[in-house]
Amino acid sequence: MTKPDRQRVVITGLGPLTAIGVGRDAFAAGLRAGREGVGPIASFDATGFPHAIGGEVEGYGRLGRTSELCVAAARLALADAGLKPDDCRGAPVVLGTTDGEPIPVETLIEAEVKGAEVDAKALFALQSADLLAVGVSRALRLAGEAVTLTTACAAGNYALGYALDILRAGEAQVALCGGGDSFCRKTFAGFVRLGAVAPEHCAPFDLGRKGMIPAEGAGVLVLETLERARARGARIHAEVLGYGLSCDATHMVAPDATSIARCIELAHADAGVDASSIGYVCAHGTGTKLNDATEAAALRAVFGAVLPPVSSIKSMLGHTMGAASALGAIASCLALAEGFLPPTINFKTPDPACDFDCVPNMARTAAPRVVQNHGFAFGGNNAVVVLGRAP
Amino acid sequence: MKRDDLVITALGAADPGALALLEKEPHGLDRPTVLALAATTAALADAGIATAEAREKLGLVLGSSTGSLAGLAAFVRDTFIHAKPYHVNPSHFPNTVLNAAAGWTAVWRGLRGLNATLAAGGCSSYAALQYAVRMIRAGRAESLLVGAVEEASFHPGQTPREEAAGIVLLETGAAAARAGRLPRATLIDVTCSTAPLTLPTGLDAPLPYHGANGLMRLLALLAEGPAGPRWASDRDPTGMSASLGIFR
Repeated sequence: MTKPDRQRVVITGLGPLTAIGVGRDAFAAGLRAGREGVGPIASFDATGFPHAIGGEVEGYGRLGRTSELCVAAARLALADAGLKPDDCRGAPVVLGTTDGEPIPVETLIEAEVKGAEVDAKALFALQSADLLAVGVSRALRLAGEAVTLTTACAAGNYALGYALDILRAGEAQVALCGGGDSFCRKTFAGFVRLGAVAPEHCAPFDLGRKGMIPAEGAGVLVLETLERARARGARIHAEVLGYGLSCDATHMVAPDATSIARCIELAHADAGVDASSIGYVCAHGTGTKLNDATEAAALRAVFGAVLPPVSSIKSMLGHTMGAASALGAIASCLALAEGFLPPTINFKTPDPACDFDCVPNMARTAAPRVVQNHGFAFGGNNAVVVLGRAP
Repeated sequence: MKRDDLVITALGAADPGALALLEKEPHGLDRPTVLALAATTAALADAGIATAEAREKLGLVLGSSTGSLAGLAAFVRDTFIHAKPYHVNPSHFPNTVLNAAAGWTAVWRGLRGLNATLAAGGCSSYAALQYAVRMIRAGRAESLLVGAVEEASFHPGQTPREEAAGIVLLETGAAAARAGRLPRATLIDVTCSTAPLTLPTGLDAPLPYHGANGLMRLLALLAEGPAGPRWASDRDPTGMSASLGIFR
């Protein structure tokens, strides 16, 4: 299955920072319980919006918020892996994001519009997207590569894939990867204007679904070569079997089923697995009419009549943008390691366009061996990661 | 990463000539997208790639430190100045995400291969080249358009910078030979790290293009000077440094 000239790569640390739980155990408990993490918006003044529900993580400052979330998630992941930063000197950090640090610019513009005093230089110093990966690398004193993949809502999977390729090639033995985004006014306003935001609940695959709920979070995973993980006796959550990328090149915003199907097939080929071996799909599942129907069509094109269970953790977390597929990968690891499928909550009425088992409302005990995790983005950037049970 | 069989076979920059050729392009694109599109169009012309079938096989890897901050700021301003905070222009919303230039360029030129955008501050060009090298090595692509785009600063609070975009066609020697494209140079090495790098030469004098500095240096190395190994390097205030080497 694995090419002999490349390293096998496993996941030994999970650092989820989400509205339904912070840290592996709390996040797993949230997924098992089908906890809903969205609520009234607190991080900006939502006056004037027709509805004001978002998925926020409590306890983080406004400025440099995404970097703060990412650093915290990286520390959680290292602790979960039983590693200290000193054990990871020179490790590359690869993080994905949709917006990087948009809040300093929002703060600046708000102050200018309202005629308030503002230190523009200090705000611009905080806003650059590279500061996510650089922030983690510097906070942990890793002194290695630090790159931020800015491929929007597929970026977490892009980052995981890039870290996989670096480790497979033998360029490093351990890497930190994942993604993060802050809940922000710009994204909320844009999606409300597009009519893509649900007023209260996100109900993926449901006939009456009304859209996504924008949210924030960060997810960082520790990747190690199987060789190194075994040598230090690490607990292995899952093996990274492969990934695929595709680009629609047809539309900036609307997803494309043919291109997504191509992405899934590329991921299966890279992982050396057949569609029939996939036991669970952690869907992109935003809860918009278009995404869910398109994702279903792509799955049908690849899997044919019989689909594995497909659920959307965005029903619980909301859409955490650049963190979404990293958190999906963490949920997929938990599914493999702990033997359960996260539910799609808020599900009431089946939609003929999404005619598959979406693990409605209740987590389910199951023992998948191979799972796939979806991330699709503006720009037509698709990324699918395939994970397998720990070897 | 020290391999000698990746070659650069074409190049393009968003110079006035390339921008002038874009007059028939649709309006409403943000400035980084216009720049990336112009540089890509120039690189495709330089490579002699003229058919949709040939373009469809190409991917695009773009380094950009911030995407369109001016576009983001304008969009955010709209959430504060109209009757309702969501009275924003929906067609401008996709331009506020950081991968807008690469996404739009893929749409307008039909580039259906691997598509990625990376940010590494003033070293974004190098990070994009390094990513492309690894993607080709991993067998995920054979020929990639690789470049960087940076918009000009728009606010007095920003460190002043000038707009620029550059693109090169990076591919395996085998892919170049099959397509009949002649190598302009071989890529010797590209590195980018927060660790102190031992740079092959002293750091080059600063350029005003921030994330596109490395690409602008690469285009200059490809265009002039004696044959042999040529190096470029940059450092970002965050402590990240980067270098690249080509054999011309």
